Amino acid sequence: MRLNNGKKGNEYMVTLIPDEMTVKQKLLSLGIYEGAKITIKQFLPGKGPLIIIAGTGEVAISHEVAHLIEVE
Amino acid sequence: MENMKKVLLTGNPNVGKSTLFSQLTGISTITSNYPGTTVTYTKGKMTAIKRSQGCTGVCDGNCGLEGLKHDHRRHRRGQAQCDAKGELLHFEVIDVPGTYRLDPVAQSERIASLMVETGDIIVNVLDCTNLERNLFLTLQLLQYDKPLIIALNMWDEAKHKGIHIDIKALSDYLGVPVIATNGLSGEGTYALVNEIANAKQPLPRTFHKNFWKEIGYIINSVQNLSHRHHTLSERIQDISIHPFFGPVTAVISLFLVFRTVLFLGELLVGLMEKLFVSVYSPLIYKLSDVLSEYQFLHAVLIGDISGAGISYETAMGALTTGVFMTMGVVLPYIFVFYLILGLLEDIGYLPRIAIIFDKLMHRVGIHGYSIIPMFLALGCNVPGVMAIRNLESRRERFITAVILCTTIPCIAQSAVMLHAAGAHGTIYIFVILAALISVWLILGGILGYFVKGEKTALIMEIPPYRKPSAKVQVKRMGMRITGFLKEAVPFVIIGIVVVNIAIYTGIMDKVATFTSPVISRILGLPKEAISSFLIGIVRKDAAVVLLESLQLTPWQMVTAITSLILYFPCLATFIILFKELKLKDTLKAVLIMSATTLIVGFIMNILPETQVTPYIFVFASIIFAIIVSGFLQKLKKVELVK
Repeated sequence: MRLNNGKKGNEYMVTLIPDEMTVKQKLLSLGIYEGAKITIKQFLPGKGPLIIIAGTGEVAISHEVAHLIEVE
Repeated sequence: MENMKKVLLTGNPNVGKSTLFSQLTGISTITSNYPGTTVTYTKGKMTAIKRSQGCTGVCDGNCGLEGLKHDHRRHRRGQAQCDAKGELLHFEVIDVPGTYRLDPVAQSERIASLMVETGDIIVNVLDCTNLERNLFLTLQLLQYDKPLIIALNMWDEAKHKGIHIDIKALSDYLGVPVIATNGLSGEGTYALVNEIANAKQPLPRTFHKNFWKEIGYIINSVQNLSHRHHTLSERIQDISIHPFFGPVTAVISLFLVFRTVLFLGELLVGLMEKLFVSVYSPLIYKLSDVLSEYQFLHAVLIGDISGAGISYETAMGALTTGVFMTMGVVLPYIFVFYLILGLLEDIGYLPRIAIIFDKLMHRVGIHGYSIIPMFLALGCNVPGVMAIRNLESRRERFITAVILCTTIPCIAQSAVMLHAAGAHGTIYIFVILAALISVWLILGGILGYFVKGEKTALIMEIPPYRKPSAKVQVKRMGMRITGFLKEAVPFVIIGIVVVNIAIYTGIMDKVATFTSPVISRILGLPKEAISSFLIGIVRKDAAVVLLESLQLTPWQMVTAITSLILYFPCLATFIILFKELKLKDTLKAVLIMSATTLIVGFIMNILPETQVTPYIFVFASIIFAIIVSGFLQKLKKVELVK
């Protein structure tokens, strides 16, 4: 499943962040990596950014980025 | 002081690095640009005692060194001459821009990596409430094989949040000293200073190739989370990113900030005016007497001060209007703006505003963060343009700067504009607003499509809300104000001198005759309006006042005011723009601004002036702009895949 199709409040495990993604390294340094457990905290309306809890911190990522991240 | 060792303060953004930096260094800090970039960093000096016999470098007041002429209080600060046995060392402390990782390739992380290379001792500041993410950078820093000390900052907050970290275990695991610190209270600073003075090479350790696996092991063995309830600050945090209450809170807080700035700014400008009249005016009169024989100098430096009292707004001399405009008007606004911006920055509200407005700003092809400069510009364009420095890429800086300078009127302009247009009926105010909003959307959309560079996607940490530190606030305010005084004021005054020379020597008249067909044919205004546009280069509010004497029809009036707002920022803004964008981009910006003015002015000019024109214009322009910008936005996708 893609991250942007997830449900608010659910915890997911990141299974794939494509290597071709230009922002992969940035996601990685913020604690969103393959194998990481992340929780969707909030969706902002109109395909706005998603708020993710990774580790003990919060990260906002845009809808387009979330669409490329595979989770389960 | 020769051979000072360089201590580099590194860490993620929002870990309290600057607060810790203020604790370590005194007041004399310098901010500089990293060569060839707009990245700024701060450096300062620190003194510490290297432990030899007796003196430990740390003192809790019971160190038993009294016999060695040891001064507990000064020693505790880690910066005084301690006469106990020990060696006094001087360090240069550099506050490296916050980064999540070191990457010699990626633009924004490159500078941090380059700076780390040059350091002698690295202090890695970690936010203990977010240890996992912070350790990623730590593992990268350990690859450099330089003396490294870890400062576990926000120690109190972590305790509060039920996060327990085994300091000794962490230190043993990584092979480097670990100190718990609290930048706000200064706790742990002495211990940190002591470690810096006695820094050693880290013990050799090998780590797993996959840093996140390694961090997983570390976290498992050193961190312990205990259950606790939601704190009040977390509840407020949740509200500020709520799908409904988030935007509502953002709009209300921006509005409140704007009102506060306006109120305090006006108050300060009023005080400055009084100060100018009572202290500065006598000096100007004296100088005017001295210069009375030199007409040219008088015109350039002092301008027209005939009449009762000096009218600083209209005298147009470099020493009258020039000094007043920068010191009397812009400076008070800048001061108030920075005061509030600094607070919002330190509390941690700015990233949330950026997230809330991200969708809107994507319409014009940039990040939500650009809302900050745009918003600041509503008060005064100068701090607005200064704030573009914090934007991520050259592309974002350029787009933001251009749409800001073109479409956002500063408060002085807004006031006169509202007055002059509103005199013909409230709808005319809406006409101007509609024109500006449409230009904002369409021009932004066009720039978003055409300006080269990657259209980046939002990935941003949301820091928890934090108490701001007064010390950091004062220090940063000092740096920002000196920056403005040094980087802006002299150039604005020089600019006015140049404009005045052009007027005095008649060059300006030639320009006027040359450009007046543009004014009359394209914009449909009387030829005399050109003088207003030329004055507008220095002061736009004065320009609108001049327009009022021309007896224009209401529609001509709104066309003229709209064009005045669009065509060129005031001189002060222009000079800052030039400093931020450099020559080539500034020229491009000027071309874009002129073209926009001519197109918008022309469209408004050819519309027939009837009773319903303003109403139709307001609706049609906004709807048109929304459609066009939506279309343009779809044309350029965010490039996420190579």
